[in-house]
Amino acid sequence: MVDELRLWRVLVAARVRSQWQYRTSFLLYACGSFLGALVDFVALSAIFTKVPQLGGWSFGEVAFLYGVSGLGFALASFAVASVGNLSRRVKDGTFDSLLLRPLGTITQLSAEGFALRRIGRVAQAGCVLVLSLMLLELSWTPGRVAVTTVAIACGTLVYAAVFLATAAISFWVIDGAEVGNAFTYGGNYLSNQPLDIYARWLRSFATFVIPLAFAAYLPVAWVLDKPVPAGIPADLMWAGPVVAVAALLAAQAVWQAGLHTYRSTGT
Amino acid sequence: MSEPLIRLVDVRKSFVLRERAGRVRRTKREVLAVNGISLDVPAGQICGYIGPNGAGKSTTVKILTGILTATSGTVRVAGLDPRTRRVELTRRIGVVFGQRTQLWWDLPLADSFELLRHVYRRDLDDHRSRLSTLVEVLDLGAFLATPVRQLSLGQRMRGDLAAALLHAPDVLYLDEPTIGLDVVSKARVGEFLRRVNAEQGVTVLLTTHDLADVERLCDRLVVIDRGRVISDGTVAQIKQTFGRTRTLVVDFDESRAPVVLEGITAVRIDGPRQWLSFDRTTSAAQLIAQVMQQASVRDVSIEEPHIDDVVRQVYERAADRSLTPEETDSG
Repeated sequence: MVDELRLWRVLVAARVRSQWQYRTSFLLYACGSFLGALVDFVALSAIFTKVPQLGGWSFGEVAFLYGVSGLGFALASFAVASVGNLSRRVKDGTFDSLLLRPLGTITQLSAEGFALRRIGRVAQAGCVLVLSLMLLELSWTPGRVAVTTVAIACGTLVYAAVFLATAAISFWVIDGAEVGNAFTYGGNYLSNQPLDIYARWLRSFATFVIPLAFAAYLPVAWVLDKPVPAGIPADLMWAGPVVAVAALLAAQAVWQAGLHTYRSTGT
Repeated sequence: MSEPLIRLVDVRKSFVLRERAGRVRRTKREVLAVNGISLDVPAGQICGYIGPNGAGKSTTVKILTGILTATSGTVRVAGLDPRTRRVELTRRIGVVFGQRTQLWWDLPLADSFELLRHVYRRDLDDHRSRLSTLVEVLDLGAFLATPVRQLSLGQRMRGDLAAALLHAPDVLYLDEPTIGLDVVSKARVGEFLRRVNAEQGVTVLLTTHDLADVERLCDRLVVIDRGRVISDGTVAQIKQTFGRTRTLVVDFDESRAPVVLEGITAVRIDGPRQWLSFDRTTSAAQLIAQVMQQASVRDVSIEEPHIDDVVRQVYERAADRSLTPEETDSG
């Protein structure tokens, strides 16, 4: 595992070197990704010009939630979103060459498609988080700092698991990539906003099907002294780290099952 | 004798194809891509593995490398079962696809080699000494600093060969390694393969449509069709079995009617020149004497059967003989 991570870094460094040859393109894409994500947040803040609160949350509070959840998503996307290339690699047959090297397929795919420009989204989520901290005037006890940090880390793991599991669909369904986007980007959209504003079924979806609520929402609600929305057991609010690791293991298992299917069926 | 390096025992691979039948209904059809192949390749051999398109060549290679798992049968490569020990096996084999590169497209060739050192966790000293040998033998020095995307096809292929051999594999699989190469590059690749085979004892399995490669390189030629081995022997043996005829090319003084003689067929006529096919056991000297009695001859030459024609005959004979259904319908 440690060795695998070391090799991932070596391959990512090589990938960054080769992308650096097209640095103008990189800068444009990174800015584009930053601005695109910013528009998304501007749209959310536009709501607050009409209403003072959303589901009982002020603008600063929603921005804080957006920042924590968005940072998890952006970091996961930065690290592993290129496993989504699986669909194309299975289709054009180049996935086979990954099986000829003594290195995990997830490590190879995420490293070989690594896109430095995704840093743009990380920067945007970071900016929103900083903005929210300025608006909120919270007293930062060690407990709040710790819970926020852990929430970002758990969010990263859960989103990484969602990226992996949904990319693995391509082992069974050739054009699985679109289905995957509904879960990854759709899930991110859901959990950027107070869950109270959604219908109960959608809330349950974001809690139990994709355990995003555990990772970001519940800890953020605790930090901001918000009530836990109906339909989510309050006892589960400390389950974040366990849920995050479990989600990652489950995603890994789905991936292995997909690989098994691929090896017995070809494409 | 020790166990062969590659062993296939009654290996089968079937795929299920789902096809449209009517608007909604879909039928399943089972296709046997590999239908009971048994093959032993001893260490140190260069084995040509050929067959028409869709014969099951690449499926076999995928099974041998662990990319695909066989439906039934036993597979061993360097003593390992590719089904369960694929990752371990990757260190014992090298693979070159003629149409695709394994190198990092945007990086200098030297960087690809350095990355492969990490990926295969090679000791730095071992890596350096092996790399310097490969650079010298394949003459890579001049373009080590060039990004792979800027290399010519011949240069890239030499780079790919080095990449496949850097981790000192026991087996090298080559899939169409000379496709698109010019004559000089082809000869160079061939010479190199002979050399690594002789000096390092690397076993080579070569799939190709270029039979000149096979003739130049291979100790042995295995021909498959419809997922079965239809011929297996040295190139000379196969020529004897299937290339039964030789051709006498005669230049007469003037155009004339085709020569009629027992045991001879005029296969082609072009002005005063005639191509006369005869059984390889017939004495050419006697034949020439007989022809010269019939008309005045300016020149004669004898053509040995061409490998392409021989293999075509192997394929055709297999197609004629084949009564076994290649596909079975199942609901």
